Amino acid sequence: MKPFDIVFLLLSLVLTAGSAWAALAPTNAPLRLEVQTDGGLYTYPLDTDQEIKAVGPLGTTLVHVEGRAVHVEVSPCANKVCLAMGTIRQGGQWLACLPNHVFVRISGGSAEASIDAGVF
Amino acid sequence: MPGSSKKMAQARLPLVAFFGALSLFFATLEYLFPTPPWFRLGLANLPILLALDFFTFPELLLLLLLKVIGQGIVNGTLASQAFLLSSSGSLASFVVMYMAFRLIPRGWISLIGLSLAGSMASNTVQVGLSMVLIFGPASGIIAPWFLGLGTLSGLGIGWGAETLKRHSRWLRRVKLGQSS
Amino acid sequence: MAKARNSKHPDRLDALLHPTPRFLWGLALLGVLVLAPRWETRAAVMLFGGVLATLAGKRISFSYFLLLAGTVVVFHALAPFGKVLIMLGNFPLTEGALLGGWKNGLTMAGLVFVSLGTISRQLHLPGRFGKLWALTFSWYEQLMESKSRVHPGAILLSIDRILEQHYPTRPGSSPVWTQEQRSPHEPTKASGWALVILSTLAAVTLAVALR
Repeated sequence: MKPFDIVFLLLSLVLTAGSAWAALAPTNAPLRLEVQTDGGLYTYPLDTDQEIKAVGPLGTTLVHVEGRAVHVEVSPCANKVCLAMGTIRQGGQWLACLPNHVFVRISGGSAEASIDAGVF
Repeated sequence: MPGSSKKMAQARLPLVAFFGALSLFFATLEYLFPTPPWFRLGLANLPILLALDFFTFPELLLLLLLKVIGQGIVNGTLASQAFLLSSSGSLASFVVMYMAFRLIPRGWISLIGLSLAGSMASNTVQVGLSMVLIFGPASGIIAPWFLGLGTLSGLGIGWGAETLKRHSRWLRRVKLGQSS
Repeated sequence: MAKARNSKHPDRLDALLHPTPRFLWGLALLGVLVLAPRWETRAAVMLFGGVLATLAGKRISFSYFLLLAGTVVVFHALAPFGKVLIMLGNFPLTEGALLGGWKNGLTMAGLVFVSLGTISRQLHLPGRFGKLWALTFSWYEQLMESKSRVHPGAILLSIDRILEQHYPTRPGSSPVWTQEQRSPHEPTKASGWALVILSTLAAVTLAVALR
């Protein structure tokens, strides 16, 4: 075999090993968004910008995800405490619209247990 | 004379077409070598490897096109995602192989190295596209398998091409005929 | 998944359809497959594609479809999205991911089946490239006829002999590369047009109705 045959063979093996390491290495659980409503528990990736409609007895609470940050955009409750709670970014932080039975939490990051069944 | 080079190029087109046919033919010989399902050995690349040192760049591109579209028509997969994956892989493989062929001095690399380079490029592109279009981001776990098997097949195809290059009398006569 | 050999499994659609309209029909069905919002529409097109592929003489198997769609669903399920259906230990199995995977799996299988059913080997490509392809395909068919003469035990020698037979290079010989003129393909029959138009209309109607 010629010199660059060996170079490309080694490169190939390194690429294979690298992809194996990337695929199998234990990582921290990626951050996820959990939304609990009367309709059930919903989970979404935090790294995708999206609008989540959480439906409760009063109507729809709009949860806005952008740039890995979450806040309540619109809610049908009277006191709007959930809007005033601002923006959350880290595992364990949460927002809630109690009148509309909506609970929003960021999970993951450091092997956190998932949300327990919510009771309102 | 300006007209004669165009005539020469025209006269070589049938040879390009024959290599295209070889590519399709070799692909059907893959059954002679046992491989796991989902994985293709890539014997269709052998004629391209062989043609690298005596086809011009436009001829190689034409050969690539014949190989890729030809496989799509012959296998009936032209309108499916398989075509998108295999054509992207073939293109990536060709670009890398040709660049390696042109940039690395002849005595420093053989068809084995070129085949390995091409195989790496092709499998990386195909795994990437599969993750984006078909299986989703969680399928990164298939990458080491494909890249590992690709390394083995790259070695095998390269060795096969080198063997043909050294021992095929037909190939030798073709090259002689083209240079006269 | 095995591909058919023409002698055992004839392409029944070839008698009804000219390769070019057949190809365009395939593209239309693929459009519906890829753009239809509901999985039910995609499933219908996929099933129809399976029928077409079988009529075209290709052997497709249910297990192939299960494997393809199943793998896609499993990988999509590994990226949870939407309503949690059940917790598998610490891992949420979600409706959104399963549905997304199912839809994608149906689409992938459908693409393969429709393609197998509507891409004819006689497909004519336009222009000078088309002529080159016709020559390539003609040689390919000739090489395939010699396939039984490839001996795994003496593979190099047997291949060399086959190559020399079809593209002679010995001094004094020259390749015969003007391929025999194929008789032009029969135009699409009325029944073929009916099949194309009705099936495309049905697919589009279904996609729109099930929006």
